[in-house]
Amino acid sequence: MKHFTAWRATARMCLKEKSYFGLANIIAQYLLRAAGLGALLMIWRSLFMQGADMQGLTLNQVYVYTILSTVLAPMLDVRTPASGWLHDGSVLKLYLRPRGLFAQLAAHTVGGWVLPLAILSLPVTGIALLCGVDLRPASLWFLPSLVLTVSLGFAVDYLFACLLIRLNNLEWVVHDMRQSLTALFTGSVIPFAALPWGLGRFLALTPLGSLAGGPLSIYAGLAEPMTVLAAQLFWNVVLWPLALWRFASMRERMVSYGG
Amino acid sequence: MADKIQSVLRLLRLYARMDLNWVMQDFKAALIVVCAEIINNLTAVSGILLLAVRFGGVGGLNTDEILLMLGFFELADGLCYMLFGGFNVLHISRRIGRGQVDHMLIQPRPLIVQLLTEGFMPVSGSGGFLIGILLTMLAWTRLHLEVTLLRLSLLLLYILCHTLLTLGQSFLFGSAAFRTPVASEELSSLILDLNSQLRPFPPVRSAPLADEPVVYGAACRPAGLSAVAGAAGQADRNCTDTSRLYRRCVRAGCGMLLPRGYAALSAIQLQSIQRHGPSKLKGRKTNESKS
Repeated sequence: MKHFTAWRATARMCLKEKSYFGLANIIAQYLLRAAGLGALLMIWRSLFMQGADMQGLTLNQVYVYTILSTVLAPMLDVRTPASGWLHDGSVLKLYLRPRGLFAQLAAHTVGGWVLPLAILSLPVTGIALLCGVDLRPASLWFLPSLVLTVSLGFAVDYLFACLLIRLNNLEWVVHDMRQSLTALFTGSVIPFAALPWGLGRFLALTPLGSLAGGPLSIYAGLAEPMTVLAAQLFWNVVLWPLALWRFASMRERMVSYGG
Repeated sequence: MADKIQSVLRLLRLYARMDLNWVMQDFKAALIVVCAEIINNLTAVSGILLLAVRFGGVGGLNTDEILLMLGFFELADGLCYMLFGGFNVLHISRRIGRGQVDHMLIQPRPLIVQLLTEGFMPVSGSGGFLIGILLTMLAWTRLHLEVTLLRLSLLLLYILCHTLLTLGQSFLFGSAAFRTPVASEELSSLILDLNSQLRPFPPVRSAPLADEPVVYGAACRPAGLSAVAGAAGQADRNCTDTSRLYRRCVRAGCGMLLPRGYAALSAIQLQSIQRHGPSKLKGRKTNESKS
């Protein structure tokens, strides 16, 4: 219980921290995501209107997929503060506290989810329901898949932190590269079922493809739950030990700015 | 006037040499940066392109026209980044928020000259520009577009539009950092991200690319103006028709209006900073003073 109270206090601190940059920054950030969502929804609508052969995909399915990818964005692409803190040296303070490094990073991350879920996800869900989008999940296997996605997301994030240490703190390079790779290869923007040349079937089995694409596909009824869950479980078993081992060895190479 | 141009060119040469020095100094890091930039630029346009390939086009544009639009976007955006990407010139709110504009005001060069030259990085920042050239050439070939003087002029005009528009928006919104340095430090980045995010999306309408409503519709949104209108202007194949040529001039004029508006507003902001900057900044909290 004591541990949980400390963990919750850290998460609350992180929630407050999100508002440090003021209202303009918060509004601009959520406007950015809402604009992206709007543009993508219009693209789907235009594809259906122009009579493209969607090969089994229904408009509601792609709407649900796209809306859910925005609503659950923080959980589908887990970003701990590790990379930023490695860059500016703040990561050192984590070693001075009587808590484990990963537990602290997890608390900070979960605290950071509250604001986007409250400011963007709830209104978007409400608007979608008002517009008549049927947001009921196709399968409840979506829930364990989401849990596995979050777990895998943490492992992937720690691996990116290791890459950052290995590249001598080229933070923006790693950040930008991750941003563009995750947008395409995790299926967070375009469903794998909508990719050409059967590319989606291959991507769904990769570690990045098991992140956002997995739970979203199950929720929208675009994939078989058991195949997705098996791939997610496999990558969790492989990537967690790898992340822990790499982080332990990379810790000795840590170099930071700041001071 | 000639002296000023010479001075700008000398500074551009200096910053180009500094950029090259950085590459030579740490070749491994520079290679990683350039490769990462190429990957970023390719993946940024891949999503919509893959959709277009799968469904034979998006929003009334066929796959090759989508390729042209994305190629133009990469070319124009890459050039803008190459010219102004260094030292956060493009992300001006960071420099304002961190109090670095104060340092610029005491330099023995006009502020505008510093801003025009400091961001130049022709070696490390050229990834997007090169990808843009390749994609545009590929799209021109696939669309069987003739390389005419008019078409090239139009391309340059739209690239100029794009650059003015991007800089104008960044400076216009980024100026808020004078008032609220901490809160608005990342405002330019957010505005540029918003544009980057929306530009690859074609206007959603079932119409041929060169139809004017598409262009005017796209011109209504700053992000669309840069990519869609640029591509539409290039892809119009009947360049010999006088009435079309006239309409294109009107279109280009309309297209120029918005970035000019932004550029003019930014220039006013800049002049205001130059004249009253130090006094306006006096007494305000900056990141440094806070820390």
